Amino acid sequence: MNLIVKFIELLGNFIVAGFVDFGRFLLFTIQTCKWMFSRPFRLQLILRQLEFVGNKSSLIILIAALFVGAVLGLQLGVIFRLFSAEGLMGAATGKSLAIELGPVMCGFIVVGRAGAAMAAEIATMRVNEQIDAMEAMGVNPISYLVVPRVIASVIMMPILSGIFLFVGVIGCYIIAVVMYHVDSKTFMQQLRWILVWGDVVKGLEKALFFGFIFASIACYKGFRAKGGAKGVGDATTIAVVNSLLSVLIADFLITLVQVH
Amino acid sequence: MDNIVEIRNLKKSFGTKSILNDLSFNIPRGKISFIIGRSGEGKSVTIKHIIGILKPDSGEIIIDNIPMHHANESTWEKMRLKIGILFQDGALFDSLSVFENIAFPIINCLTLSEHEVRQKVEQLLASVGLSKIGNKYPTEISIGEKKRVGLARALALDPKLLLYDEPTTSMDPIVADLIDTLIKVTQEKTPGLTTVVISHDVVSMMKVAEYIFLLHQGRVYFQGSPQDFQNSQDALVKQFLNGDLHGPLDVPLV
Repeated sequence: MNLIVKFIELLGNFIVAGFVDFGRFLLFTIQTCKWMFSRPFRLQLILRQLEFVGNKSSLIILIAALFVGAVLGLQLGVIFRLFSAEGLMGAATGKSLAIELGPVMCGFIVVGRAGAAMAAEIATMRVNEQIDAMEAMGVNPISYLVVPRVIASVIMMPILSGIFLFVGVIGCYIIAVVMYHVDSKTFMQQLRWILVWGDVVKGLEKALFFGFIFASIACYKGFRAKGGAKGVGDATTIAVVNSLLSVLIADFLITLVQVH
Repeated sequence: MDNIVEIRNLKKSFGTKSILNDLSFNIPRGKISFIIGRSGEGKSVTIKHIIGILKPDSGEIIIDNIPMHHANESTWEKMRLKIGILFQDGALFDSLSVFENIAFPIINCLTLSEHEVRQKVEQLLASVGLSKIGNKYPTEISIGEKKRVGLARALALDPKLLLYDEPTTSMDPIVADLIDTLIKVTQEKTPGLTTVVISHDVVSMMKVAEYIFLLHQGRVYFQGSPQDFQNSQDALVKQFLNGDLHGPLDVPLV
């Protein structure tokens, strides 16, 4: 009986702690949105973060996109060959990359690279009292540290996602033309027929939301870090795990809205 | 006596742990005051209330005759311009050079030209005896230098109240003496400045302090001049002064 009570108590505490943390995250996000539209606007910091999130992620995005497109081409080619429909390989790859795989894969890669770095950097600043020092000097740390990172992620994620789609289709094109001997004109015709601008826009919308979500979570977890090196490690791990899961949940919800 | 900070019945708990328990004291204006006590007695928590990073559960904080316990963030932001703080490990920004660290509060809080900022930073670096390390990053300098750069940054906005959080912790005696001298010299050279040092370094305290507060169990247990402290017959004060293992502040070995 005692064990059951203990279990219910633990479960209750876990749920309450989860709600409290979510509430704190929402307040943090509201503060971030408020500071996004308040002076001072820190253009130089935003440019630095654009370079960090976008430019420094572009090589890994290019490589990943090329191989994802190529693998999709290989897999789809095997099936389409059964129906002598290899010409549709580009269309199928383009469609799946535009509305789903591009933004999600891109989100995962940028969370792993930039999101983890954001959480670790802010967490280190928190445990070393650098954020306290900033506040003590009359500089709001959300305005200085969080807003530039969130704005940069919101801007760069759709751009990176667009690059992912473009390079992914090139990867598929190489496989289709070299291995399945698909006529390049047919490849492009089918791609243009199936993949419409609306699909690309839907994918870019998703990427924009993913950018906002992962950057907010990474910065929030960094802000809440406690203790020394272990605290920084814990904050980074939780930030990455929560960001990845949130990207998937947000993907489902945005798709639900888009489908309807 | 004119006081720059007045703290009345301050209470602060974290979860079920009470840190400040009805804390009341006044920090005299224009003097070097030391707040001492064992680790975990709430010294750093007190200082964080004075700069508004922590908010009290109850009680009053009056700084420079302005009640701050219910102040909003914009009032605090204005008040913080009057307060400089040197954190325990300097709390310098790793991603900025020494020069940029000192320029940070100047650029963000004042409207000066680039030339004026450069002049002010160079003057501040010279005042802590570190004219040649402006281009270095915090990871490239020693802990003593970090604290001196932290002091230069704390002085950047010409504060009325300068707070030091354990300035001589983890330092060799020579660098500790240098920091003590800097605290004294800075106080002497800056008209109207009040200095508050949080410490458990008795040697440093006896050299520099003009007034002492001893915190115990979240309250002020003793206050007075260094002479009062030295002449006190109270067992707890004597134990703290002599650093004895046994006494009212018993430290269990197992």
